[in-house]
Amino acid sequence: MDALVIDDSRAMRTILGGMLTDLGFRVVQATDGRDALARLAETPAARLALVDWNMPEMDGLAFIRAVRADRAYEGLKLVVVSTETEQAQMATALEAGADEYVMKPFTRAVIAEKLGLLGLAGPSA
Amino acid sequence: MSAADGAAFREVARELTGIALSPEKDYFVEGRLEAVARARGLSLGELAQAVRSAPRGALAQEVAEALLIAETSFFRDPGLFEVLRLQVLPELIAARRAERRLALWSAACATGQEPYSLALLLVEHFPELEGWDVDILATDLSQQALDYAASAVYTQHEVNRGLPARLLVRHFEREAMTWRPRSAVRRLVRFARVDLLRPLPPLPRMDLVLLRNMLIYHDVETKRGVLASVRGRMRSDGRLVLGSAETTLYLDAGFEPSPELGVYRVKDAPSEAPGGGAGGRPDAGAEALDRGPSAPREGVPAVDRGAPCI
Repeated sequence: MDALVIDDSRAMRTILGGMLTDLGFRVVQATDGRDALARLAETPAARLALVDWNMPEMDGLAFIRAVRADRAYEGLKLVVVSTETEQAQMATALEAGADEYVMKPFTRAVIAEKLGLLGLAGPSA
Repeated sequence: MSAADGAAFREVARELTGIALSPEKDYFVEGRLEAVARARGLSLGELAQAVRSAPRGALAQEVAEALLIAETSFFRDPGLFEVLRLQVLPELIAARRAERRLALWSAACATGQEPYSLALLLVEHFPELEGWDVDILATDLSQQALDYAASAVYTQHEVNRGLPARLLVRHFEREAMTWRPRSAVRRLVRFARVDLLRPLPPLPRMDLVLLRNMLIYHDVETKRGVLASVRGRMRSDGRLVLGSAETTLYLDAGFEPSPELGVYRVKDAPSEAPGGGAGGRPDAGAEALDRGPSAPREGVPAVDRGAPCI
């Protein structure tokens, strides 16, 4: 199962990518929303994207809106992983089409449990 | 941790809480007690020595409490909560439509995530319960865990775990770096310290009991006693939910498995005043178990109800 990890921090991409790989996903990394849209076009079967909020070029919210405007990606689960912890911002992300929201910092268990809520316990789970 | 120290901690746990931890669980004991030892400036060996010399002292109690607090999270085992939402609760609500009362019991509630998850489920998915007398009793042996649960103040890490973000946004208030369920959720839950291994205090007759990951720590006879005792506090069509590694099979013939995994139906509930707890002592206050007035208690904090039973 393919998954995108979208974050402008290489360290964060490595951490999240490692967690998803351990859960059995094939991980594709992207550095911002615009990069992610290009990667997504190359990976149409992706079932999951972990999306940072604050990124250059195209931020996470704009990426979510772009994905949700395209019916080709209807089955894609979008999880925001962000340092933004205000309820109003979480609500904005959910209204825009995010399926789940993880506040940084997080643990492996947090990611695994959120995927469980989305019916994506991980191919190897 | 040495084998002797592990044995000392297991003995304290058994004496003070009834939990029978096997030596294979020493990793769990060590993990739990490191923080207790560190807070006192002790090594694990020194902590073991201290509880050996005063096995009923305050430090031994603290050790026992630390071993009691199970790992938990909101909506732990999401599949089970889906079964409750789609199957168990609709059936119970249909059966109680005339009396408009629903009594739920989170019998080993630890730090409260389980009963608040139940409350969130009801508030979010069952608006028809507005005006019903809904009561979620949350009990635990650990006073430390109950105090935490009753405060309802959760860290960011705790609400990150297992709690759907939509529910966090809708039903929690953020206070600095902590999160608290809103009063509409909190008021459905009330807390009391109950030792399931002793005769139970007066309780309402329960429609649904969650007793997850508690029996697993106990020997067969204790499991039988607890199951019989809990069954004695349930309605004749009540449901019991156990942890995924637990069962009533070969322990209590008064329950039968439901098609839903982990859910058991009462098939033999005492019709009148039930007997005592796991110890089997008759409970003279048993008639007071059922709550008297059935009027809805909208807006009234559960702790203020003043009913004769807890």
